[in-house]
Amino acid sequence: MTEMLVLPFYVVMDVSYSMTMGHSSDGAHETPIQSGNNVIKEVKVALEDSPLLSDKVRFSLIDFSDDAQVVIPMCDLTTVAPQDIPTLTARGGTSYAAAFRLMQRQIRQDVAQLKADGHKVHRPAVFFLTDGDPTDSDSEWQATFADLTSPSFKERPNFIPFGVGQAKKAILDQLVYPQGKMRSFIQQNPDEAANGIRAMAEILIGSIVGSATSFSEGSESGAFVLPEPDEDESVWL
Amino acid sequence: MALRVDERDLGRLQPLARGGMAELFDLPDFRIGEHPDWPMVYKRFKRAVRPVPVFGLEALVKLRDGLHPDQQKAMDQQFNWMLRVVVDDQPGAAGILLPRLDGTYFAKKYNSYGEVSEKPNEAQNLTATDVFFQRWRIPNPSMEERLLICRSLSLGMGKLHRAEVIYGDLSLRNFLYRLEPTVSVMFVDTDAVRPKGGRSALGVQPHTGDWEPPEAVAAARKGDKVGFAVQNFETDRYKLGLAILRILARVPRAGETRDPNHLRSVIPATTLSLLHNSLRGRPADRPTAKDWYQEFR
Repeated sequence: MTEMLVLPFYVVMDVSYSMTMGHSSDGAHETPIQSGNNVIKEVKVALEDSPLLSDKVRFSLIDFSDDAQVVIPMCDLTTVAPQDIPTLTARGGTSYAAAFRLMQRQIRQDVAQLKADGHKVHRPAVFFLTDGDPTDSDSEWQATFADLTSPSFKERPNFIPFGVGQAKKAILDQLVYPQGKMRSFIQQNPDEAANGIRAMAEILIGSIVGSATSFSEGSESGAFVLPEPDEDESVWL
Repeated sequence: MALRVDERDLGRLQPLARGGMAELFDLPDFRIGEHPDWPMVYKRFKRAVRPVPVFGLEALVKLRDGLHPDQQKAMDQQFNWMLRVVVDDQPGAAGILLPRLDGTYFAKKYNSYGEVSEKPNEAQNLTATDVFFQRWRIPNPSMEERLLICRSLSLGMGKLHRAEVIYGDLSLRNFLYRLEPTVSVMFVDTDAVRPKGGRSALGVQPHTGDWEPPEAVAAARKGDKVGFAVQNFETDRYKLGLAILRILARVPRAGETRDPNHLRSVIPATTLSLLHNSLRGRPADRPTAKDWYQEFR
């Protein structure tokens, strides 16, 4: 039987305490972490609407603070009932290193499992969202990120960092992988983190649609597509 | 007949939908002279797509306008064809005007949160399993209805080819279907078509993933990017056969299958033979849209 292609998407969400502060200027009174929970719903609804996308896309949610955990294991998100999707809750600080270590372990396991199930697996994509600086030392988070994206790690992911709130461009630009092909998204207005997360969801869904429909049997290159944000939305730096 | 209109003359723009390449607006204040009773929508290209040459789009407006009235009417029944090119103060076309689609090509679909919204009835729905149809709460077309959808698809493609136009990037995402009042399909994204001997106004159109004909795959394996991108009547015929297979297949991941043997015990031998010739034969031997239409009559 022909191997069916799948594209693994990971959303890696900061759940440090600062994600419970602030609200959007449009009066929605939504905290960043509430917006984060809505991201999952929006992705699920988009996949439910399109059998062609849901056939191809596999999804996982990881959260991190002082530690990191798998919230939704790699799956076809359309098969998960809404009531079975855990709600993100805030805890602790912001250890990028914990997230990167878990991601590397998890990606290796997930890709192996998908292959064992008879799938041909495209390079994973990670949408990494944070609202602040890492609480690890620079050397620690940089070393774990280097491991995650090392050429010796065969399943190394495309990595797209999103910064809201107090996240700094100078740091997140270091998390773009591959450099020159992907980009960072840093919110212009740090007081509107919830809006930024909603805008991230649009880019994530655009990427899912674009990537899943550009899979090309004849192409040797990766099929991952990262859409530019809409020109009428000056959300990102 | 005017071919172009200035965006400032369109009146109110009411957002309808937003895609990767364009935004769609309803135009409650604007009508065109030759069809004053047709509600219109404006497909505005995003900045990333522009500039789009006005000339190529105007050629497509003229193409429809130059058809015999009977042929024009037949095209309008199955193609959401552009009727004007919209310009603004930037170079090239800002977008196009299209007739607003008939509500029969939309369906109220539910999601697993119990929310309902009206969505275009994309043909990709036909690749879904029963679980999806139960969630959406819309009818899962029977085999008989699917054959009628294929007949309408073949009829539409035949009309296009008879007008010497190549659709190019055919997939189950760019035509809609309906079951009532009559089973029919409606082609959308017609701004990417190209007249024989000409180029698409939107530039070279890539094949949608999973829809590449074998000759494109072979070209890509040799590193031949130009060969990979070729879209002609033969590639249209390949994709027509592939669309028919995927509409009829009713198997998991039907949207990706290229194996006609899924249908061996389900369809007549003549239909199976046409599928084999479409998908596994030489490009010159692929059945035409007319061959398919006659098969489904």
